[in-house]
Amino acid sequence: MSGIKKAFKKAWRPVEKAFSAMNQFSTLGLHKKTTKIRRKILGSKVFKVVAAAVIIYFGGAALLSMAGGGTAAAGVGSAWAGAQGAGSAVMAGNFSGAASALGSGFTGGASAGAAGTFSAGKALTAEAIAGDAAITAGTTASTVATGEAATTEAALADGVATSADVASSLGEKAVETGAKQAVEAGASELATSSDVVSALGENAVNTSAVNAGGGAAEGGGLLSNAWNGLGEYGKAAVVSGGIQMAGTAMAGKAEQEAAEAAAAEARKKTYWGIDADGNAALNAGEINFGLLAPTPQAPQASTAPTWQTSLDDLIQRQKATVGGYA
Amino acid sequence: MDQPIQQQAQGQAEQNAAPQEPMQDGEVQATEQEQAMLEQLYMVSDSIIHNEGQAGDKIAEMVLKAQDVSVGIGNAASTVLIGTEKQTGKIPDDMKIQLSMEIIATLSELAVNAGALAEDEIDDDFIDAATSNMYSSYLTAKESMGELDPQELESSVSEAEQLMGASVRNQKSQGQPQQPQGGLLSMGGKNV
Repeated sequence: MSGIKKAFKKAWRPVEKAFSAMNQFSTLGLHKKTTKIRRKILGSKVFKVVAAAVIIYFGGAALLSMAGGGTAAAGVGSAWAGAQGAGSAVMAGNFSGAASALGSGFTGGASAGAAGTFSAGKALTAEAIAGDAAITAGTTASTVATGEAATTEAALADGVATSADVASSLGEKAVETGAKQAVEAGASELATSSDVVSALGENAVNTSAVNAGGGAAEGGGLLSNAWNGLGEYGKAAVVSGGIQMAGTAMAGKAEQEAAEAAAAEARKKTYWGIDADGNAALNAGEINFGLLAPTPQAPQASTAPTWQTSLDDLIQRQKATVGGYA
Repeated sequence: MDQPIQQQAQGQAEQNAAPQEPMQDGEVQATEQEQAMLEQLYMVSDSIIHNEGQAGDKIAEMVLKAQDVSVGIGNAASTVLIGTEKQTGKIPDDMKIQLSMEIIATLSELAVNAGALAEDEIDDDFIDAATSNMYSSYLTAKESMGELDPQELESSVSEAEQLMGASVRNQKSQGQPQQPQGGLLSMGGKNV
């Protein structure tokens, strides 16, 4: 029997039993209060079903993306569009997000880079969730608003504006609430995306800003028309491209600065009383054995970060990959 | 003096221990050796979560600062799982899934204690969202580390597809979405 099948056929005792004595002892009984929560999760019958659904849905999307020349992360990002979780998506037979990994225009986004596309997918999910909030407001009008918001081809800001417009024109308080939630959810998601992008370079920020706010709102100019014509994944590809360019430029600049610093340090060094420019140094005539005023080591210019070696680096990597905490 | 306290703690521990769910048809009890191995793996995961250094703080931060706690728990859980793999080596799939469940349970418990999550928010939807976030974050991180084995992924997905009788990949050729087969809970009762 292979690994996954084994996993679903095997029953385990909760690990808690082995550690609760230690935990009770060290937490002076506080642990007792929380065992209920663990029981609730560990006793859940849906976990294994959800785990299988997650593998089918996100794993399948990752494979589709990779088969199309993209990255697994891009497929996962695509699968998040329109889904709040793999379990509910698979149970409802909603494979559209995951299956879109083979859709037209996807490959460009997929091959452009993992992080941007993944974030884009998550942003679309946030939009879909915001749309659901409008549904739960519970009027026919809100359904119309949700229909607009659920058009994932539109830019995030566009979807939010549409919901808000419909809400205000119909005067439904419940819809307003939904739209407000949509605006808030959208705004916070944008803040997260732009935070990540702004950390990477100004070009990317500009691109992201167009993606976030100006895509549909400023519909006039040639550039904005071209931008709108890109489609969601095309936009993601451009943003990812911008991020990569900015990253490359920053890396190059950092290397240049490090090399200049190293050269400046080298010029300060004296060799038998003469510095690199040929001037007599202050300590001319003295032999420097390196014991007095040791010169600092020049920074390493091109050392690749070995993040795999430390958990902290792994965490940083996770944050960078998924676009922050959210 | 210590012995009675330890015995008392042990007694309380046995009372507090989560009772094992009755086994479903076709389920096989893990062997004692496998159970012991799972507990060892959990110890490593638990030590990462409660690490006194920056790692522990950052994992807590991932959960507590997330706008959506299920996203934070998913990301943190995948980080802990990868960290555990780094320390212990490759973990068999069957144990990895059970260990993931234990890690999510531990992080959720901590989130409730910290006030970031209400106890009644822990429901099937939450488990679905946290698990989905964990797996998607795990795949993404593994890929960026250059450790994602496409053949292994293919094998896992194929097996899961056979188990569930559903496939994203075949869906593309079928053209029509599948009809819902009942709620998540009913599926959980029938298939597992």
